[in-house]
Amino acid sequence: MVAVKLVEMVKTLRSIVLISCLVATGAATAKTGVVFIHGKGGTSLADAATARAYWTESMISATTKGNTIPSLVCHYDGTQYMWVAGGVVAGQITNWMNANAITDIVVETHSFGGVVIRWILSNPTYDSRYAPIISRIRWVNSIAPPNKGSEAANLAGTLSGSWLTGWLVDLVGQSNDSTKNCSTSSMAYYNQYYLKGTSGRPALPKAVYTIAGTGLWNDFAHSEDYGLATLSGVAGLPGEDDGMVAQYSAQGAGTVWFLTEANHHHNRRNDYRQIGVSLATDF
Amino acid sequence: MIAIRIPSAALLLASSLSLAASPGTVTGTFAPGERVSAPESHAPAHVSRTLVRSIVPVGGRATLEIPVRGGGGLIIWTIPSSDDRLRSSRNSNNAVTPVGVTLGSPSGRTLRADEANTKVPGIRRFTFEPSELAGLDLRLSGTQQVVHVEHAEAGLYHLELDAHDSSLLTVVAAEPESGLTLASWAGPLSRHAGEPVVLHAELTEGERPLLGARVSARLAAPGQGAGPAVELFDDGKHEDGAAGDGVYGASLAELPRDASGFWTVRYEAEGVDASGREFARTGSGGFMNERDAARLASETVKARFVGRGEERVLRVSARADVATSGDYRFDVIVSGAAAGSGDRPGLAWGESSSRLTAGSSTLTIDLPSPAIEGASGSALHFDIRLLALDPMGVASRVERDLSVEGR
Repeated sequence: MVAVKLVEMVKTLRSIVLISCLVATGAATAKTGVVFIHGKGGTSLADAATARAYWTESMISATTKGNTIPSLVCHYDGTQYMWVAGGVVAGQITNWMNANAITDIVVETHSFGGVVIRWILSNPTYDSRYAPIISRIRWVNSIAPPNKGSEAANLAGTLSGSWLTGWLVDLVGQSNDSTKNCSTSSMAYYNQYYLKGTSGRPALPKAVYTIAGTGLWNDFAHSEDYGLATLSGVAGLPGEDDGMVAQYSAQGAGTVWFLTEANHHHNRRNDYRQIGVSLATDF
Repeated sequence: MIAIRIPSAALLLASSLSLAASPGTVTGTFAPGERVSAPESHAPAHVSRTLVRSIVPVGGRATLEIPVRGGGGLIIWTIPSSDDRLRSSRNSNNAVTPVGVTLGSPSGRTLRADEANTKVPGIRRFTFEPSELAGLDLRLSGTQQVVHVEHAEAGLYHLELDAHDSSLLTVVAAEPESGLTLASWAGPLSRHAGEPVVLHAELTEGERPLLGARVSARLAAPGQGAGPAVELFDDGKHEDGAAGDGVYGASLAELPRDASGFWTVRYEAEGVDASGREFARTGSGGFMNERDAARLASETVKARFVGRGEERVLRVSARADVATSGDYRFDVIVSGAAAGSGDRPGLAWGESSSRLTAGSSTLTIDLPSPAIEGASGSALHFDIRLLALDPMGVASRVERDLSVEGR
C-alpha cells in the first residue's frame, strides 16, 4: 500500500510539473484526453462498437470521470502483429488528437495493447505519426501487458495445426500474428532488438505504469472463471498470474503501480475491482 | 515483494525523446546507474509440466494413457475439433456435441462420462465456453471439458473419449505443482545463415536430473507444418554439456527449409524415473531465422568526436553491404567497461532509419557527446545493429571496443 501511494505521489508531482511547463510555454489551453487500447482477440475488434464492449461502458465512464474527459477507444484487428496494430492505432489517435486539439494524453492499455503502445514508444521513426503522438503522451497505464510474453501464447502455439499432418492442419488452424508476437521466445527477441523499457535496454521515452493481475476466481458463480483457471494451470504461468499473463511479464517493463486480484477478463473492467476508479485518479 | 522503480528526475520533464536534426533519427542518453546488456543467445527456457497429445478417433472413440507423477493436482482438458464437412450429426443448436470423457485412476476410481462428479471426493468435472479464451486464438468449438483431480495418484490414468462428431481430439494434461519439469529452448535467438541451431531440453525432478529419457523435437517454419522429429541426446556430444546430467541437446547445421522468420519448436520427452515410474512432457521454444538481407562490415566501424561546444557529437559510422533493398534502421548503443556480471554502464544510444538500396552504403549517426566524454577509461563499447523494418529482422550486428578519436 505504501508503494502504491508512493507511485501515486510521483504521478501527482509529474502532473504538476507538466502543467507548469505547459503554462510556462504559453500552452495554457492544454487539453487532456484519454486513449484506450485493447488487447488481442479476433478480427471483430476492428469494429468500434466491439472495441468499446471489450472495455465496457462502465470502465470507460469511470476512467473518464463520467465521460467528462474526452476519450478515444482505439479499435484494431486483434489478430495482427504489433507494428500493424500500431499503425492503425496511430492513425486513429492522430485524427482524434488533431480534431479535438488534445495536447495531453493518458493512454490506458489492456493486455497486448500494452505491447502495441510500447512498439509506438520504442520506434518513433518507424511511422511519421508516432513522434507527434509520443510528444503528447503524459504517461501510459498498462493493465496486464505481456511485456515478456505469455506462456499461454506458448501453449497456443503447441496446440496449433503446425504439428499435425494433412487435412488435420486446417482443422485446427495456425496461430495468428498477434499470438505469435506474444510467445515468450518472440517477445524475448523483440525486447532485445525493437522494444525499449526492459532491463538492459534504453528506457522508454514516457513512463509506463503497470497493473498486474494476480487473481483467477472472480465471478460469483465462477461462470467465466473456469477457462482462465484451466489455462493458468496447463500453460504453466510461473508465479502469480491472471489466467493469461503472469505478474513477472506484466512487470517486465515500466514501473509497478499496483497489483489487482481481477483476472484477465475483469482487469479491463470496473466491476470485480474498480480499476477504472483507480485510473481516474490521474485526472 | 514488489520492486518499485521510481522514474529518475530526468523523466519528470515532459519528454526525454530527442529527435535529432536528421529526419528519421532519434538519440538518447541513459540515466545515471542504468546498465545495458548484450542480447541473450536464446530466449528464457519454457518450463513445462504439461503433456499434449492429439488423437484421431476411430469409430467415434479414442483412448489415451496419461503417466502421472502424483502428489499434486491433475488437470485434463479435452479439446474437440470438428470438420463441418464430415459432421454427421448435430444437436438442435447446430453446435458440436460435447466429448464424452471417462477417466480412470491407477487405483480404479472412475469418473464416467455421464457423471458430473464421482462419489469419491477430489475428482470433479467442469466446463467452459470458448469465448472465455477469446484472446488466445484457439480454434475451440463447442463446450470445453475439463476434469480436475485434486490429489492425483502416481501411475497411469486411463482416458476413454466418446468423440461423437469430432474429427480430432487434443488432450492437454498438466500437473501444475509437479517437481518434474521439461525446460526447453532453441538458439541462437537471432540466427544467421551458417550458424547451427541448437535444441536444448533439460529434464529434472526437483534437483535430480532425469536420465535415459527419449527426447525429440520438431521444427516448424513460419506458416508451415512441422518437419520430422530430431532426436536429442544427453551424451556430452550434442551441445548438451556433460553426459548424463539430464540436459539433452541436438545441433542442426542447416534448417530443413530455407525460410526466414520466426520458427517454433515443439519438444516431446518420455521416460521412466529411477523408481521406474513413467513420465511424459511437451515443451516449446522458438527462434528467428534471419534473412541476412544486409551485413555490417565490422572493420569499417569508426567513432570520433566532431564539433565544439553545444554542437559537439560522437559520430559513429560503418559500412553496410546491402543485398536486399528496403527500409532499415542503424542502431548504436554506447556503453562503458563491463562489470563482472557482463552488463555495462549505458552512456548513449541512437537510431537512424533510412531506405537502403542494394550495394554498399556508409551509415552515420551523431550521438550526444556529454555523457560519453564524461565516462572514465579509454575505450568505449559499441553495440551496432542493422535492423530490417520490412519485414522485421536483425540483418547484422557488430560489437566493438574502440578508442575514440578526438576525445
